[in-house]
Amino acid sequence: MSGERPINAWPPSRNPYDWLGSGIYFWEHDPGRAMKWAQQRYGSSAAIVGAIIQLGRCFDLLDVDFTSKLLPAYEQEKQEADVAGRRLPTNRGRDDDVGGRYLDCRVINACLQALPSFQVVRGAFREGEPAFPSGQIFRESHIQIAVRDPRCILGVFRPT
Amino acid sequence: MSFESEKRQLAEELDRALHAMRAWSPERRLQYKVALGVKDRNAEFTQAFGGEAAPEPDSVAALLIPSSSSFGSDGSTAVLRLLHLLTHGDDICLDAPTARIITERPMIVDLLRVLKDAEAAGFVRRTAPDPRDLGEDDRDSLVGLALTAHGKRHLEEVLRTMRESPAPRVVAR
Repeated sequence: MSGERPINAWPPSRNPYDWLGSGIYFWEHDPGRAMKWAQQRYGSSAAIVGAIIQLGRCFDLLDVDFTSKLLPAYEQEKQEADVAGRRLPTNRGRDDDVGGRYLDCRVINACLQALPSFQVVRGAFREGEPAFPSGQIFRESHIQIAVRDPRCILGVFRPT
Repeated sequence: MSFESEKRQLAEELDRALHAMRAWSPERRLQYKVALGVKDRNAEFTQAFGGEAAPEPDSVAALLIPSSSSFGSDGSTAVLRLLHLLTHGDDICLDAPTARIITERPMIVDLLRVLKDAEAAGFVRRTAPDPRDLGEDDRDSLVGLALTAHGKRHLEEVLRTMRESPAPRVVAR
């Protein structure tokens, strides 16, 4: 994102490996992590923007009411791939974080195409090295939000 | 409505939507999604549905229809899309993807209106299970619907005219 654009002109991410499917991505309450990601990707021209987000009709992957729907979606996808003589994509990556979430993206998108009125997808992810030896708390774990309906972005600000 | 009850309702809506086509075999399910343009023949989602595939050329999403200046109201464009879908099978699913492809909005009420228009024009006929009036409660259910000889002729005539006419066109999204 560069310059100043109205929110409804922000392009959603549509990569086949996006962790929460298609949407405009944010880190929840973590501008430092957002800046680190931006610097890794854009170097010295990195910048971040804060947003006030109304979760609205949220496909919340921290809620069993919604995570329980992923298995039927996966099974449907698998059956249809089998019919077509194809395999479902796999999640893959160079390290334990498995950055390319191709399968997750496919299954989440299957849910979202079935019920397109979802406005936001939210999920928590373990990432990074253990915070201490043998620990199960990880340094870069975070909550991500993918906004599918830009009307849920109520306003933006410059984090300080 | 409380947050909890709203959330539960949303989860139930998703559950119903995911199971909308459970009466169909996986083969029919895939064939229907390909016919609509939700997936390609490799079962990959098309670009409009979160994937990277292009809709198959014979799908409804790929159907180029002359703009309203040539063939009446936008409603008739939606009716033509419905008729084209019925060349691929004798039933449809009253779900959001079908509504979106046929009417350009994922609203069941719009899809029902198109269905009634097509029925009133004699282009389609309800077949099963019970040709009663359909409403919002029928969301995510399957409806038996056959193209009549009149509907088939109308579609063929329009498609022939389209091939011969360079008129401005609209495509389903």
